[in-house]
Amino acid sequence: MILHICTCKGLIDVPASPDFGSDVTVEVSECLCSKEGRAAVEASLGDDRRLVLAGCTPRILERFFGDIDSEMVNIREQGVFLGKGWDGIETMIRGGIERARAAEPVEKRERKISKKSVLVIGAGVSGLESARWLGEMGHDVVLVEEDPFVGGTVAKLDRLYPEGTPNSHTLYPLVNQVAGNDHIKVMTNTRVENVAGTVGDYRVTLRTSPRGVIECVQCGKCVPVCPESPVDHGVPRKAIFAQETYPDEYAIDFEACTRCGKCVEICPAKIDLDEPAREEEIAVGAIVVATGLRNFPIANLSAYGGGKIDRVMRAIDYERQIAAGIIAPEKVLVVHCAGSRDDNYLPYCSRVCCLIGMKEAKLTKDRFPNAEVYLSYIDMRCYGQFEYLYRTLRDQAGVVFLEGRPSEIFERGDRVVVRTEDIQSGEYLELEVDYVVLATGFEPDRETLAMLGLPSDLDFPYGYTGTTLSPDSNPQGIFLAGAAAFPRGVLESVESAREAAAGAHAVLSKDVVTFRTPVPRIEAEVCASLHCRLCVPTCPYGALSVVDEEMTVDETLCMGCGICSVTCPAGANTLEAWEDEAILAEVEAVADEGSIVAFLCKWSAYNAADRAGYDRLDMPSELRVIRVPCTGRVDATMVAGAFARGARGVLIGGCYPDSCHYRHGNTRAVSRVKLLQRFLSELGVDESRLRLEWFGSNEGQKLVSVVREMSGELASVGV
Amino acid sequence: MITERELDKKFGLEVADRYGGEAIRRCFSCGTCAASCPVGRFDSRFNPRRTIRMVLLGMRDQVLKSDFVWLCAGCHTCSERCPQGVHIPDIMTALKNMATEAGYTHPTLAKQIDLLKDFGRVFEVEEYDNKRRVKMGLPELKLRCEEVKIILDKLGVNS
Repeated sequence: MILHICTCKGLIDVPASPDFGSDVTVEVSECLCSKEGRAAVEASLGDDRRLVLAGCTPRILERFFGDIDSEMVNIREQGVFLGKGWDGIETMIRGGIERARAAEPVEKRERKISKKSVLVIGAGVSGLESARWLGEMGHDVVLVEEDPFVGGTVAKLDRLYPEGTPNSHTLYPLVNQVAGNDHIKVMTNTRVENVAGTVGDYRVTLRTSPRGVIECVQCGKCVPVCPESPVDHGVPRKAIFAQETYPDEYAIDFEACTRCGKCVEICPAKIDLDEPAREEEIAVGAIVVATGLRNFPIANLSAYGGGKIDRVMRAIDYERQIAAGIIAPEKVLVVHCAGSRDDNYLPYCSRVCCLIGMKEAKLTKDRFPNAEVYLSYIDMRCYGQFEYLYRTLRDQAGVVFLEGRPSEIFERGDRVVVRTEDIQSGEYLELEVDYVVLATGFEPDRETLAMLGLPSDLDFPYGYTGTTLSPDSNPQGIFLAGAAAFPRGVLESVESAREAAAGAHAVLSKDVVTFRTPVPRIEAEVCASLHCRLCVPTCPYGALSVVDEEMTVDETLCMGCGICSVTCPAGANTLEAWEDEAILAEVEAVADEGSIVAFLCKWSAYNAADRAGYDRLDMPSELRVIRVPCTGRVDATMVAGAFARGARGVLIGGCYPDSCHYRHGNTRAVSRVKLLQRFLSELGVDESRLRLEWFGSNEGQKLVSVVREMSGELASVGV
Repeated sequence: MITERELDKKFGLEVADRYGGEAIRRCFSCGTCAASCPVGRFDSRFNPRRTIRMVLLGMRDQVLKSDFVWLCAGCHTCSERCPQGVHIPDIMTALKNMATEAGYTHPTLAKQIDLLKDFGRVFEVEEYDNKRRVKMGLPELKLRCEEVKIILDKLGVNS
């Protein structure tokens, strides 16, 4: 084993020839982070010997040595800065050495980026924007769209907020940039049936359903002869139709088509009502998911007459009916938060519906200046420049904002009656209007997300943040663009589409991606003998699954928190480099009679200890810090190990509630500590000797107070 | 004007501890309850949204000494529609109990005790009701239930 001790430019006094046993070669360096220091560490690599680096905080050391397998001992911030002399520092280093002896190195993993093309799922405004950027960067793009035409929701809309510009301003140039780029292959009427493989090499099954129109000269003779008039987002059209986006050919809506054959007879080119569906498999290196949002079905809102009263409609239908000249409202009510922020329907705020509702009000007033428009709301959420739209509307005569969520909406003759409380006056109000617009929220595209196996919360995916490859995140091949991730307006969708394109580009421009996140190692035999699968739901990232009866870790999803390792009742699951044995070995090396052993989360509490060092706070000398990836990694054996060595108290320090880096490691720690405390008191050990506390990464003072409290209070408790 | 010092900040916590009061702090004052309330339509003194707000702010006396907590008919329309799962009728019951415990019994309660003693119920059943019940295939009810009066008298419950 090689131990590098850094004096941090003389800040740390290292004795002339420190002795850590015959099998430890010691090298003292003035500054490990300097060119010379780094060269010295490089030179000691390569013969399977473990490395221990004692110097400044791992926060800094990881910058230079993050890719090297080593144990880091923080003898600066948590050593000399906290008033430790060489004795204390020596103990810390011994802890690192013992840990290094017991720990297995983290395996360096690689994924070849063998396929250089990219799949974009969904050709709405987000998919188009992602495809455009990826195409301009020179990547081969396959852009698939389920509908017969590209354009998605934006193509159906009349106008876009906040400017109120017609959709053509945004969409038409974008469509041309995509359709005119030879790198981009647009496939309409196409669904993704299956995705297999991993980053760099995905196998994707595509299914193209019949368009019916094989050759088209756009003469339009088929339209008048078609007897069917299905309603498309509030507006009737024929079963054979065109849309002014792309491709420039008509298409048949086979859900409405009765196969009467009249279009086939009149067509001078070629229509085939029996065109078969096609399936093909493609291979891509990365995937952009731009499947957009799903309107919340208003039929669920029976108290509001949704699905029962024709004059109660979705925002998109209302907007299209006005644009098509079907309706001419004189008095209309827009209901914000219809079915949103509601435990019975959508518990979340969809973020864009406030703006959509105001847009409907604006376009009503633009077209019908004498119309009366009421908008009922719980809270208006008009962030940033949207405040100006809100003000513009307030300035208009005939626009009334009503604070209060309507209780019921019903028909009275040909009018629609709305009951609400006007909270600002405190009066009960009954309104009679022509039309009610329900500004509903949006639901995720559950089908696609489930097919891709993306972890989700409230059915929305998480953990896929485009380009943020922070050191603890793994290379991802799947990127979310636009409203597929969460309801987004056009502006935000386009921005996130660029971010997703940049993420995909970052992957595709490499030949190999490497990552060094520790993953749990699973002893297959022990695991199979128990087969409890308790660990599977504890993973915040869905990285654990049973494949062919064997517990398997998806290395590209795992983030190395170790929450699952603690859950395993058989000890068959252990996190590499952070094994029970390794952590326990460090505990046993540093804990002694009367000490306070603190397991500190590397994201919060450990940094608080550093902060205490920078501020030169008066930390009790009994403190022994053990760095852990998460409080969710702290196992009963580690706590017991500390007490067995005579520790007076054990502190577990992590991130505040709801702010765990690994989503719920800290809540797991809460229940584990409660159990452990009960267990301890049954053994006759005062349960106050085990304490769980939350720290922000700057709360050095709080850490000092807690440790001081523990060492003071517990002085009277028998050890 | 009420100054902040006059507010009893524990009031909301106490109501939250009562049966049915658990979700009271989730209320975001959307007014669905008020707009749903059939009582409020006839008597605007009763406004469940405002009552919850007053509880959460800590206006103990203003709520417990009021007439309006006694006006809730317990129809549950509000809690059916509440987007945040607040059990408004249970909260009103809790407030009635708290008001009674604090000695602010509403005159209607005394009237109800009289009715209980007279009929054994809080409402009178007449021959007409029994005729309708028979028509619907339901058994007839006793018009009076003297035993309730005996129990109440023994318990010392008086109007």
